Amino acid sequence: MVMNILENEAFSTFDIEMLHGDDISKVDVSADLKFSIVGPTIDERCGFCLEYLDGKTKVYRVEYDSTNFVLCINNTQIQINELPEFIKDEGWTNDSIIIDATSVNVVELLLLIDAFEKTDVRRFEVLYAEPKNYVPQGTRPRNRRDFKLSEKYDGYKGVPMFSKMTREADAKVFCCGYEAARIQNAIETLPIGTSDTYLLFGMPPFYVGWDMNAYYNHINFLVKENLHNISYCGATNPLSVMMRLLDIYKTLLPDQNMFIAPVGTKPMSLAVCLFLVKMASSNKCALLFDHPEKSAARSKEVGEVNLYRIQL
Amino acid sequence: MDDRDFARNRAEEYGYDVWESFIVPPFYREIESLRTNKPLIVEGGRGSGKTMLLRYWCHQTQFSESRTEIPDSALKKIGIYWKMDTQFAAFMLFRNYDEEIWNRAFSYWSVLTISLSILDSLKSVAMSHYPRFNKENLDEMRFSGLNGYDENIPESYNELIAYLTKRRQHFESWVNSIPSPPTFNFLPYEFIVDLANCIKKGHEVFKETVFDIFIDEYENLQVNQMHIINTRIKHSEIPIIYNVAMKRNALVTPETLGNESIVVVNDYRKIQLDELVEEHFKVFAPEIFLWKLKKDKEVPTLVEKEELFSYDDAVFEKRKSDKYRRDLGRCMNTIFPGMTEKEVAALMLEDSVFKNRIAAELRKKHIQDQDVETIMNSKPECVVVFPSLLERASFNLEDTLMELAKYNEGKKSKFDDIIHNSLFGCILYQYGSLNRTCPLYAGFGSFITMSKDNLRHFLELCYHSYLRKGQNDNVSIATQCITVKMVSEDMVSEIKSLGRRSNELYTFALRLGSLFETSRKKPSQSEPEQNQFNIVGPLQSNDTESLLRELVKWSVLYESKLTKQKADENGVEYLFNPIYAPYFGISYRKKRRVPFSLKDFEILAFGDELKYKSLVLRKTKFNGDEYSRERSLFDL
Repeated sequence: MVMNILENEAFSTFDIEMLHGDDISKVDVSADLKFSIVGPTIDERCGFCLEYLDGKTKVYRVEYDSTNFVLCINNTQIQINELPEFIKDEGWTNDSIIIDATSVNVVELLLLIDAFEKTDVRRFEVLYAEPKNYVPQGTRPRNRRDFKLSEKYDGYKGVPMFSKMTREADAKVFCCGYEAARIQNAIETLPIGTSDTYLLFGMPPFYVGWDMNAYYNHINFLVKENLHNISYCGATNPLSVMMRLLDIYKTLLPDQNMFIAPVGTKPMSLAVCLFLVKMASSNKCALLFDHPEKSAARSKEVGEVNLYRIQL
Repeated sequence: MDDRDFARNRAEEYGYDVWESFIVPPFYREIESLRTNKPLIVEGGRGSGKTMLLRYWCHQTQFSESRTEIPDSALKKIGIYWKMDTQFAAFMLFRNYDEEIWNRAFSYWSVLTISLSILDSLKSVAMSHYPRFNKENLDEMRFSGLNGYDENIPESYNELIAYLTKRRQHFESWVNSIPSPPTFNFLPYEFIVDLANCIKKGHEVFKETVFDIFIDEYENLQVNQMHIINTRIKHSEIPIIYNVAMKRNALVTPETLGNESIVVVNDYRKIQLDELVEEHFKVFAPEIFLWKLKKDKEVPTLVEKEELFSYDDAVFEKRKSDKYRRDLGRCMNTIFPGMTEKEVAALMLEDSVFKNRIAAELRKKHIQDQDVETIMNSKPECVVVFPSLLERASFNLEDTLMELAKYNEGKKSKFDDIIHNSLFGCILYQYGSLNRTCPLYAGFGSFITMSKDNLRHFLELCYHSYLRKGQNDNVSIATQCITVKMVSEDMVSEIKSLGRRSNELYTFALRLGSLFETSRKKPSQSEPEQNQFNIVGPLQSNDTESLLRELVKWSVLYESKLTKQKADENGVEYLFNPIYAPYFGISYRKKRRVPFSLKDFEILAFGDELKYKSLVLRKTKFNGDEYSRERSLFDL
């Protein structure tokens, strides 16, 4: 139990077990799983996870439509408030579900976990396959840390149940990956200012040296905006991210809210989703997200595999 | 003073009170004459000073603690600045409700936000040095004309703020929840007007007050929300006037909620900041830098606070005079010295690397040693352009040497034109070949051209160069060159943060810049300094048109009327933002354009790498080997 680490009543029942291996066979995926939830297959590792899950489980493909604020599950449109009912109808229960966070996007992950919290699904697994390589944009040496991970963005836009009006005095937390421009865009287009801004870098990273890509892409922006509140949480360690988020939460003033932008690694985003769901009743935490359209073939080959066993 | 403070160049970095930082633009009279009680649309690209101007007009600045004397006239127009929370605004759509409900919700949100801002402005007045309205007066004010909307509306200032804040919280929760019918009534737009009238009646100093609402970043609103704001603009009248600020090309819809549209002159006046800034850029841009230098670094410069912050007609006249502009130029040239093309050519020939390289190029083309010596002993500018002439089909050694002799003797020669047309390109070619930063990017004049009409870019070049000058009085050319390249790289990288299609813009910029860079690598330099393009034939695709609009909106490209138009050519040309030139090692001067077919443009914008590569080869007439020759790791 991690309750002692996450010292807040909201996490009294929460637990997370983190397994890691260089192959999916080494992470001990539960044999009792019946349902898997996947997202769009955009690169090799998404295909790899799908291939593993398909056949063993009934596969649901989930995508969030940020224009119409609805979910599409296996091409059927579902209103967000109908998701708990859908879960019951489909017979999703404890220990029967695995979410492939490799392909499932952030908002989908958040809405699914929220719906689990609202139903009887208290235990589930999350799979995440790391990439072995990201593809740099262009072949020049000067572009070697420049990765095209997204095609375009729908722009920062609220997600039902996890939105608030931004105010400059609120705390802002950005999980940092390679796309510093997404943070810069938030600061420039939204009235959020830069005071009380916290940055979380994935350290240790997936591979030695990848953290340098993240720092290199952020450094000018950090200097320019005079941002000092930098923390390091393992790129594959949701618990460390949650602990840091809780630390920040504890510093909030009575009338101060906290906006969290999961624009870093997926395990960090998983932590943000878990945190937002568990802290929903505080009415002080909200999501900040720009809904990217991910680039096809953004990564190459499959790296290490992570499995998270979660109890809400 | 912290270097970071010195280098601040965005209005947002100064906060809402810019009283101590706002330099009155030399064109302020032109703007002021448009500021009547008719709505304004302030249009300007990034770095045009739009947000700074809006913040200057707003109550936080006009009733700043730093303003020691505030006349009664300051209360005639109280500015309210509203940078909308677009992530929340974008959220007010669909979700089981039709657009009409969301329109009312958005309108209600604007009523709450603007009302709270108006009330906040009263506090600014009360807490300021304005003598006729203070905290006690504010506490005594009664807002009794509003209880028709809700009998529970309190009358006192603080209670009214608490009431509206609570309403806003309820509204926030309602929008955030899975929609269920609201349990509260939406306050209509008229609430703001009645609030303003309450204030006018509440204290005599506000008797003639008009509240000017400035909505910044209008372009980020949803279309239905634009219709609502347009409706407010159309029906603006005293005491509430709506104004908006946006980037160029951003008024995507003039429609209102009714059948009418907003029309310039009839419904609003337009301030085109880009044009005004461009006209006065050579004065306004150095003024801002020199003032910052004086204020933050205590360096004596020729600008005086009394003049930069003055509204005196005589001062405006002085600031617009040729003499003042020349003086500013002289002062800036002292800090940021530059070099002419001929000076750079002379400098190159003092360097054995360039000298040997040029001589080798001549010998490679089988020029006899004796002739090589003659060429190498000619005027530096001729030496630098000579290798390019060898690559041209029409080259004749005998004739060229004759023309060279004439030029060396100071007689009229074909070299006059060749140097005029090709020297700049040949210098870039030579420096680029050695991966060296070129001195042509240094100097005040180059900074002005590279930043075009963008104050932020100009200041970025100046600040960062200045901060690297060390103990010297001026910034060395070498230091400027390094800084210019660094700033240019930052600006290219910044494209990735420009709006929703930023990654498409970034890819396009990298490709276009690389295409011009490849052209620059051509030894013949017969068409040097390519940095513009036009599209031949009509634009038939919506995708192309919308991407072009986006590129212009974010100033990746500058659009202008085609100077020499052929029958099948589209009437506009596009200049690649010259701030990106140093990154690609290309010219920042507006010189030559490349005609693209619509298909070429689509390949640049949306094509795969293979198609793009073949376009570059076709356009630059390079062969594959030459094209694939990349720079080394040291070019970073």
